[in-house]
Amino acid sequence: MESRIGHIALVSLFERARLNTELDGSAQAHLNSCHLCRGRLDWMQVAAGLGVRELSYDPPQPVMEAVLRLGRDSSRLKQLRNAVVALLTFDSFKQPTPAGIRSTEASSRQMKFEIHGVEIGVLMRLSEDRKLSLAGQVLEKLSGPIQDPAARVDLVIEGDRIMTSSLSPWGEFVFPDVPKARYGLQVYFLDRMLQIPSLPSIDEQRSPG
Amino acid sequence: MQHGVHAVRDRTDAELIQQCLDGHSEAWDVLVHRYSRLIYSIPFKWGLQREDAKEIFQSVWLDCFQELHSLRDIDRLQAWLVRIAIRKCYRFSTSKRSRPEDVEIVETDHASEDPSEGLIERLDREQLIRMSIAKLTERCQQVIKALFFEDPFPGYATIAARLGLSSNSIGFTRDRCLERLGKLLEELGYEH
Repeated sequence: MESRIGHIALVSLFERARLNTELDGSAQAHLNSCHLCRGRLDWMQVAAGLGVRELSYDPPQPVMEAVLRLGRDSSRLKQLRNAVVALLTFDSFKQPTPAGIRSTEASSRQMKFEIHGVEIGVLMRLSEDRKLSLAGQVLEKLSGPIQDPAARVDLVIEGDRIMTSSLSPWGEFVFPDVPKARYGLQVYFLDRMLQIPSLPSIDEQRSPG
Repeated sequence: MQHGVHAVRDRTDAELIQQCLDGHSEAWDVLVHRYSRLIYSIPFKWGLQREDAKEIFQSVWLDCFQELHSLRDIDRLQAWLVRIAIRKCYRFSTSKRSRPEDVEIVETDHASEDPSEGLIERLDREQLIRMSIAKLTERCQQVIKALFFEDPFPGYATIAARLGLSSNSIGFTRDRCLERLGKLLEELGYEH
């Protein structure tokens, strides 16, 4: 059925999309040549495709409440507001290679990052089965280990949290046997968050000796 | 008060993120509600189960919350959320050996994933429809949800009765709501 201005009536498109009714011959011919009507039918088909499942895509209430509670966590928000990026201050790959060591043989890399009086040491090791282990220590330069039992380190890829490690009383953390990838670290303690957006890769070439 | 709630709802993602960081919890609520169905739907489209979907949903929002400071300048929060959700689905599905048949995975050296463009496009379109419906009047929302989302289709007479309309005038209301939804989709940049 076509409307007075020549386009297919909305109800006909709706019924085609939702109820699978056939368009008559002239409407079908019009549809083939009319961008506007095809566009309308397209969104109606997407909406119909969502269908009854759409109403089941409401997350269960307890799950939703758990997520909404995040936004009321003022101490976490304070950490996020105080987020800073730690800077690389030492990298074993940038040190001259000892004589006799080929640059491709490295299976570990040691780094140190610093910001606002805090040091994050990171040791990256590659095992024979090409798995990566990351271990490290977070220390306040003046006072030593972080005094916060809730302190933790997250392993992330572009914001996607892969794993979390609590900090030991000595400020240590470890992520054993993770797939080789370009990871970042986020350290949460007290009201602060220190970020290493992207750790250097263990595959990079060492500086020549 | 009602006016204030609407004002928050109309904010852009970037404005809401900044408000979250400033400690306005209602901004976080609006952000989560804006994308909750989109994010919760992804694990199901991936062929995962309800328990997995619940876990992935919470995990995506936890990541989002913890990345708020770096998401302030992001152009498209929606694309970021979808990417994170898909990655988590990928990890779940590879660990459980289930994967939807219509999604092709291209493995990268990041042990990551790249599902078919088709899925992301479909998610984008579905989200535009959700966002457009949310901008309709309450009455039009009722009409559209009854038209498209109820199974079986309740029929025009039932919809009219629910709205307190005569069955003669439901046609006008239906067409007005469809027309309005189409215009909103156009304004939001829906392309077919």
